Amino acid sequence: MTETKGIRILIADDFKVLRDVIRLYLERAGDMEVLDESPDLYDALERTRILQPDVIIMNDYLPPIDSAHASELFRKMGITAAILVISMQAEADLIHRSFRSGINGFMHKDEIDGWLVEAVRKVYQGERYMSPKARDAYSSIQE
Amino acid sequence: MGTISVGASSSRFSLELQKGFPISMIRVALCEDHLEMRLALRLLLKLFKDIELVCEASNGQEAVDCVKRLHPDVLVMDIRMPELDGFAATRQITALSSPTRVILISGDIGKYVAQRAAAVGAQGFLPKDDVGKLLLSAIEAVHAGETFFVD
Repeated sequence: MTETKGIRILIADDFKVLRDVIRLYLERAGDMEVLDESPDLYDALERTRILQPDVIIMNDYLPPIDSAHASELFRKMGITAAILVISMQAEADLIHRSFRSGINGFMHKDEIDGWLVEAVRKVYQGERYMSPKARDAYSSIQE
Repeated sequence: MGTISVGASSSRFSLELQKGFPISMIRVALCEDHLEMRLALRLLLKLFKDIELVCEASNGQEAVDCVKRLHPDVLVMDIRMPELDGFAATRQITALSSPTRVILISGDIGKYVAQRAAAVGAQGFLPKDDVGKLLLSAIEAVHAGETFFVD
């Protein structure tokens, strides 16, 4: 038997219904624990400081700033938790800026059912994760 | 726990061993104009193996068309929408004597909204903030012929 330590997660998104749905997907994975939820940047910073999550699932806009600025701030404050950004747009510019600011993964929200659990495991293991839609959007500006 | 298929020609039907009586897939339609809310609802429904999403609409008129065309068991519909709102669409569906049962959802809450939902012919009402926790229960309840109102 291998002992599995649950991946400890904070969900930071201003849309409560989606936070609830994400929680259901993570809890059924079996190796993850949702510590708490945050609706905005300052709340997320405070809860991260207190709870020390392994992974932060972050909306691409965390009121009042976008995920690129938010993750830059998290990193400047010495927060090392893996950051997985979820987005309704998967826009190349934001993906680029967010990775440059130190995020670990990016995915479109309509890929949550297929990829969220794998994405969380990947960023937790220190890997960089881009969902199929994020990769498509990103490769379009590389050409 | 678990399901098994019953009969060669009736794969839509499954027998839930835990409860000991046969149930079929519940065919559900969604109607919501807000794109991210519709996505959240779709993701939520995908979690339940006994639910089949048969159509998605973004206003009341599309929902009425969907009910006429596909006869879903349950329609989950927002109240505030452009074109035809959820109350008006429910009235039309009720007037059709359709077997489709309607659950209205809204960011607006309170006894008044739930009462008005019942008055136009809906079998259920849920505030949006309760959708994540209660939608499955609501769908199962109205599908079983009960009502499910939360105010």
